[in-house]
Amino acid sequence: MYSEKQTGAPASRVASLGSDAGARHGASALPRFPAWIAALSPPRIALWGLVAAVVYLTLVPLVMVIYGTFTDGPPGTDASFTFANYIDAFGGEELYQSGLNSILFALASGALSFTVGCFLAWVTERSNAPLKPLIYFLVLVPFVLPGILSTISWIFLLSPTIGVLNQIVVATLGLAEPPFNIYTFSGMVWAFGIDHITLPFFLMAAAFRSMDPSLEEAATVSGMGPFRTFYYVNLRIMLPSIFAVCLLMFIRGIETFEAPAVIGLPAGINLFATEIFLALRRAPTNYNLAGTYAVAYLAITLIGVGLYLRVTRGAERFVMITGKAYRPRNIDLGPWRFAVTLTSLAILTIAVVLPLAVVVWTSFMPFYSTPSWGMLGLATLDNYAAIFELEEFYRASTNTLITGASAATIAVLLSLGIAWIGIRTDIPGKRLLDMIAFSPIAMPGVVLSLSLVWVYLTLPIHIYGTLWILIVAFVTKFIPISLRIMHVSLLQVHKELEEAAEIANPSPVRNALFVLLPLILPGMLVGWLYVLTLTFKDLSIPILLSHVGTDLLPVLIFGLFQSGELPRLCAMGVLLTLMIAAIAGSTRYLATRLSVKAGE
Amino acid sequence: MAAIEVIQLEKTYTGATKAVAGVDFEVEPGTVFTLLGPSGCGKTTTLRCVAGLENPDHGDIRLGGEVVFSSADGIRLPPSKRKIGMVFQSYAIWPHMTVFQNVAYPLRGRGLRRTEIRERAMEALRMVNLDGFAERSAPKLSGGQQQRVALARAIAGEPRLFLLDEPLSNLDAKLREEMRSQILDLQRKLGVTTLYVTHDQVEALSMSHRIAVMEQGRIVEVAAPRDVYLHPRSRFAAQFVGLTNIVPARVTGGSEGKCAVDAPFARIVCQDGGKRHAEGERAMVLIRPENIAVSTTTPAETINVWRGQVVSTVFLGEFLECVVACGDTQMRARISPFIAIDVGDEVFLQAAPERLSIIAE
Repeated sequence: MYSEKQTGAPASRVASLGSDAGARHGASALPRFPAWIAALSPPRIALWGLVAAVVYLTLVPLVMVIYGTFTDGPPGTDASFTFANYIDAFGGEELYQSGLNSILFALASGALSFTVGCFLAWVTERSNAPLKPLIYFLVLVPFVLPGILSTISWIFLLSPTIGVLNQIVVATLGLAEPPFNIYTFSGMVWAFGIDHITLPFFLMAAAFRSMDPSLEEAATVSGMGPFRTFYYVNLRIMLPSIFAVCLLMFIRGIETFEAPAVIGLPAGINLFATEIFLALRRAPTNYNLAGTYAVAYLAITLIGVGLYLRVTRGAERFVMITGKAYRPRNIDLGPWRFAVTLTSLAILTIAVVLPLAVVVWTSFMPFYSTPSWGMLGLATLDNYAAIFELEEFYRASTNTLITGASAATIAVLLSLGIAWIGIRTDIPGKRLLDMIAFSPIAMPGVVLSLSLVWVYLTLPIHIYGTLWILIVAFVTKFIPISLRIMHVSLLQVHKELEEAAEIANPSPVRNALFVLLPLILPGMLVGWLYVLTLTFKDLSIPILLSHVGTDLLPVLIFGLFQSGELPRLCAMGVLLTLMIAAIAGSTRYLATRLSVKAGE
Repeated sequence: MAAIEVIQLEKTYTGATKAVAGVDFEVEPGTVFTLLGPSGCGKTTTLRCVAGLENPDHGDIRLGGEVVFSSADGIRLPPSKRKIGMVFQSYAIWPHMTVFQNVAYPLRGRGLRRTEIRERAMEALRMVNLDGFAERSAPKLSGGQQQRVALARAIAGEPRLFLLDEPLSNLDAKLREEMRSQILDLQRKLGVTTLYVTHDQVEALSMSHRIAVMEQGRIVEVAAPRDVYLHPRSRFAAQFVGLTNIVPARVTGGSEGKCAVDAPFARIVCQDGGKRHAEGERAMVLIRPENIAVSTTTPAETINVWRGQVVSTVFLGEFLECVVACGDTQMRARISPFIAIDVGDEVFLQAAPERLSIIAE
């Protein structure tokens, strides 16, 4: 510009403009790092660190197990490429049969849990039936029961040989044959379905609560009768929630291990989960074939999860997390309200009280027996005393606590980071991070365990056979759940609260410690304790990854079941249930107390 | 030197249109500068860019001469280094802290002695008359009190710049008026340069030294409150700030600061706003409803008298709002509720030329 004024020549004007632009560009580019380094702000570094961690936890196992299906040797050996596993798996009939069984099982048990859970949710949320707190409490109980214990309790109740209900019915009605047989497909559906009413109950209760009652009132005012209102308003509004809950129950049914293992195996009914379990228990173990089953298994759960994400797209991924809660009008049932309460309590007695009672009863008996007044005199604490003398019990308890606490801590911290990036930043790649972290929801415990066997027998990281592999498995399995909890609790912390701190104080550490952490702590604690209870209940992961010395309590219970030591099994089950109840109870207590203190 | 200089500011959110599309303004030290506009006009984004909470795509921001943001030079000062105090729309009072802890937080980590932090935080609380509430838990306060805590926290760190993002929008009407004068008092007492964001014209007109009216990411007009209201220079400002009758017209002549135009229903004489309009130019005459007199008898004045028929009337308490059809044009007037007119009445409208303004189309 300056030279233009001096010379005024058009040629030098062009030249000087060119050099001017070049100089400016150079001046701003010269002291800069390459673009990718300059782009490494702390949130970006955190993002890519978390992406690396989550990819390692979720995608690496998946890739390893898929790799295994195309080779012909066990993990960690030199093997050559082959299609033989797929030809074997898809050539035989077992895969189709077990796949069909799995789908039918998940559909039927899902329908059962949804129907019962939805009915009870309607009773507590929308009707004026009495004794609602009791119904509410009883629905909560299955939540603290480990799946292995509740499944076994149904054998105690409905087995054709030792089933208490069978013996009572035969005795009172004078039947020649026991009317129920747990060792059937419907028995397995019943045991799993009736034990899983808590989740649909809570999700549907939330769906009922989040419906604005003025919508119903508007329908009534415009002249719709109760049935038309229900059909055109309630049902239409709740349909996405209903579909989402059903899909969630389907996924839970597909991936469950306990009922298929405890009831299905003796009955000769194999599902995907047990097929893999059997493939791994056979000697010599064919990891490649098991992996092929796992891939087929994954395909089914992925379809379920894909549908679920489609249905819930736009809305929160869990129906329970709809923001606004209304107080819907209770429907006056008139004299029918007593009948409704009686029905609810009858259902809950069968679903909750009987299984629990038979386990508690057996835990005090010297040998397995049908409950009667006569037997009450034989009640003893011997089973509990024996367990407290058992060295394995202490070891397994310590293991359970260490793995659970470590996994919960890691899962909550990772998901806090993922949720924070997802909510507070605008970095490209955050959606990918969220998706990868959510993907283990499609991974049944058995498949995850098998994948981890592949990873840690191949990679030179020697944690196979230690508690670490269990911790890694639990973190991966439960990250989707802790992620949702952290997501919700972070959403409740208004963005401006953090921004106010950003303006007030230059230290990010101080701001995180004194502003964000106290606000998010209740959510972290709830997430931590929730994941802890899940690790206490899970059998599908430790059944394949635990070894002598790294036993967890559910595995010990499964072992006692296989060796037929039923009274001791029950005593240990009662102790485990008490531990879970204590954790769950303190979660509720802390959650309410801390949220009151935080003033929200 | 200007306390705030914003130069060619641009900001686009991912997957959206430009939130801020080239905004320039300067704020004199010690004054209140208001960004006024409808929601989505980019006013809050502009404020957040000045605060450092948003990263603009392009532009420069200088506070007291210091460059705090420059896209060309790659400078971006974090919010805490900009020496600003901010009041958020949600107040953003930390619920787990007491009132005192909230206000003292900006002073911590600065190497101040405990007693000094205490003194300065208490002084800030005294300024907003909350010194008796220091040990209260913050969320237990009322909305107005929380607002004052937010103010105290913003001034505690002795900022060179005070940013307020719709601070009164969560309060009810009565409290809003009270807080308005309190914020004004505080600003005048401290003499701190203030950037104020609102969509409420009353707040903007009553509190500001200068107002920037924003529309779709741009500033359409910057002026003192009187000028924004009485002599708007854009159709948008005229319509957004208060009510206006906008009459399309063609300039026919003018002299001595006056301008004569042909409107569809009559000839109108108005002020030319210091700008000559060429004959034949298309223009718009802006007539505020409260500047129109309505009478049923022929008025004494002869300039700008129009005949019309009353189409509707609405009683609004302080005044009667009536719509009068002058030919095909409907004019809205606000008159004393004691003047008795009815729908269908033939009436005369009259407006003083110096109260009308004209803008080019």
